[in-house]
Amino acid sequence: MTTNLPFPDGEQGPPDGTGKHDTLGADGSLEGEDALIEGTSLWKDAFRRLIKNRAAMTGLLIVLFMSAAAILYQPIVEYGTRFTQDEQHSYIMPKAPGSYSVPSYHYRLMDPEGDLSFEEIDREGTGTIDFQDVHEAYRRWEFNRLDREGNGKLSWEEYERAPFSMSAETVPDCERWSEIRMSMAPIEERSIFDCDADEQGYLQFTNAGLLVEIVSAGEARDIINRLDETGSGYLEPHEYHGLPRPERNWLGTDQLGRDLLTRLIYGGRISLAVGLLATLVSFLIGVTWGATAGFVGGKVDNIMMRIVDVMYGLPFIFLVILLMVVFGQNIILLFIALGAVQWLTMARIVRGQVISLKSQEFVEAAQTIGVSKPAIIFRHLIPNALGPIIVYATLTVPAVMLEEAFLSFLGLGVQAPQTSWGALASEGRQVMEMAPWMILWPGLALAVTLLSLNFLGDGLRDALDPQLRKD
Amino acid sequence: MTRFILRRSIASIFVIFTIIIISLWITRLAPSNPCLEEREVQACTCVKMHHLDRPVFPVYSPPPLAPLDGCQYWEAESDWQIIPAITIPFTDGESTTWPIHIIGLSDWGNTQAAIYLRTLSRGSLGDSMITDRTVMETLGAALPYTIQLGLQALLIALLIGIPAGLIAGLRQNTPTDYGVMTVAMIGVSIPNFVLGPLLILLFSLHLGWFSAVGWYTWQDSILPSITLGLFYAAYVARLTRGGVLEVIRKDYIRTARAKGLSEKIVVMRHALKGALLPVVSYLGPAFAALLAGSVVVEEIFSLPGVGTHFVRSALNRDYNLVLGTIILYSTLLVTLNLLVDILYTVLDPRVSYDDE
Repeated sequence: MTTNLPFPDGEQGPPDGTGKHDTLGADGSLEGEDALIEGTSLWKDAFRRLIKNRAAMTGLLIVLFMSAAAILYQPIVEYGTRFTQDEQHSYIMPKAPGSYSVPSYHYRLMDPEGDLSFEEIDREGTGTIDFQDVHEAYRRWEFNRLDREGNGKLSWEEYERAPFSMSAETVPDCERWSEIRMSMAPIEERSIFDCDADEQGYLQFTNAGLLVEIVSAGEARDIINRLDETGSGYLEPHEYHGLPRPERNWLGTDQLGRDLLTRLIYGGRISLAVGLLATLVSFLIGVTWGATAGFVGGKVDNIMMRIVDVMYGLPFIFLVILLMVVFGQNIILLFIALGAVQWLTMARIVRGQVISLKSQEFVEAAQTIGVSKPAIIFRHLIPNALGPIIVYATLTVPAVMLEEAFLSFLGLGVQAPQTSWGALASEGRQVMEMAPWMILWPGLALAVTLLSLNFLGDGLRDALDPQLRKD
Repeated sequence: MTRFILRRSIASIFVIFTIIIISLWITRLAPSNPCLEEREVQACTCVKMHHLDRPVFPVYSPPPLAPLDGCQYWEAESDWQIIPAITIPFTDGESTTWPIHIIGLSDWGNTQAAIYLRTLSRGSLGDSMITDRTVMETLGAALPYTIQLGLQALLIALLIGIPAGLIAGLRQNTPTDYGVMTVAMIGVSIPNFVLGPLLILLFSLHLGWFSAVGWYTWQDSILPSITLGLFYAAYVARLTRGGVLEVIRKDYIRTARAKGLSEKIVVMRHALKGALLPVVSYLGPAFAALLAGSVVVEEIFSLPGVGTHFVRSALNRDYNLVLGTIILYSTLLVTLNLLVDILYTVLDPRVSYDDE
């Protein structure tokens, strides 16, 4: 049974490096003698074909961009959003994309100039800062930001444009309004104008309530407690080392107030790492297995390939699920388990390649001069079969990433405080009614990366195996 | 053909047996056990009832549970040799060591594995260790949902995928082709656990056309089936297009055209059969993936299917239910794969399994 093979045996010409059929290059320069002398290697030719494939190049760029973001994660956190994934915040509601929140006290050390000054916080000039001052300062900061006209009051238009975390039920009547405002229950934003706006339809600072709150009273109290050395409950000027200015959450936050963009980059780091490493595992197992079977041939080949056939029938993913449930929380196990599932097709491809290559003269030559069998396999056969291997490996990466995301989504893959795109999507699903962005962005990141990798893999296949091109 | 089926059936039984043994081993290696939640006296009965005080395998096994106070535990007729120690590197980040038990031959029949296999040979899957239903009852109630979900998803995949791939392949390199293939590529790249919640968001919460969770009427099966099926629809479209392109330049198609047959008959009678071969050979892996996908989809839509039981029982350490689910999945898969192979010989007479 070789019917599952994406690359049927022997369909490729021998990519033996001479590139005979490739000199008919795109520039059609067969007539010029120089072109004949220079020749075009298979790889050069493939590269040229790949560059021309716009979808594949776009895919490559996107993948490179994602990888760069993942690798540069730390600097991005420090100079960009300044939240790390393991910071705990006391927010209980996710914030919409574009809203502001205050970086944790720890991270403000990165940029002391971005701090609020003592005078900005202590507006009454009492010479001390208590938690109400901090709370008030951040509320006023938010109020001023929303107040685009700068007239000290909010119109409905100004208010409406601000990204707020949620809106849901209408408030039944204005008498219950203050009580609802205190309880953080979901509120219809318009209703604040029916109840709290003055006659001219403007919202004063004092009426804006929780709707301009980017730091809760509890958080303000936390900040004070952390800085308060004397235990007095308030800060004196010498105890004050600055408080960070609010920063923008471009993609919103999760329900703990953690910046989603940062979490996304951090999650991408793990998703991509799992994709690459598990592919590497599958590559190592598959290439060794397939090359050995193909090269040795005969009974050994038969037995090894029967084993592969049998394993194709196994419900591997269920064993992986079982393994993850049982041993959980182990990312190395995840790499190995996912890689161990994916090597079967690779083994079949490599075997087919090796069988078609091993009767070639260069292998016979190597055998004649006494090169050992493993050396022939790894030095001569595999490098020549590299084209299809690379193509299939590229297509394995999205498959593995998908499986990792699938496991993480079930809560079985990457465990908190680490995260991956699948785990983020899983978190997002639980609050998707009030915070659809929490599933949208991780889902989008995953889909775009998978799409790019698929396009890249297809492009590589078209470039490296012209005969396999279906058009 | 009969020989082939016979040989494959024997191989399948061997495969399922291997899976049972591996799963037995993995479940027993897990930290925690199904009797942990019970009070001491009940735990004692629970341990004895499920034979958890015995070694799992004749040779190498995790240690049986340590005796609780006041429990009369099973005792081996012959002494076990305990050889310390083998290192299992994957538990909680630290290495854990399990002793190796070498058990006297007379005690082999009393290992947990042997007891479980005896239960199986009586045609039973045993009792659930957490609930008071048998595994058969539990899975019997859940299976119809999973089967219906899988079949509907497959139907969606084939009904959308084959025509789309056919159209794209017949109009190769036209905007139609590029359009269909780009959509298919996007379809292959959207994970079903992202698609599902988004569909719920749009059709259940926003438009209110379907209920978001549960399965009470036939309408409730629509969103889950679409969620599960769309990925495969996209994949089938890609395969069908590839098949069409491969077949359409073959000599027999040219002959058919030369005979003056209409394009419709050429495509439907002659090309389609050959073009569908890649799709048929994909059906085997597709079944496996559909079953795995159904775990997630059942989770998203809170459906009472087999997948829900699988994850829940694995988390609860309901050993028998886990093993029962795995046996059910493996049997389904192995049977379906066999059917696919037979279907393949029917479609492509060149393939014969008998001379292998």
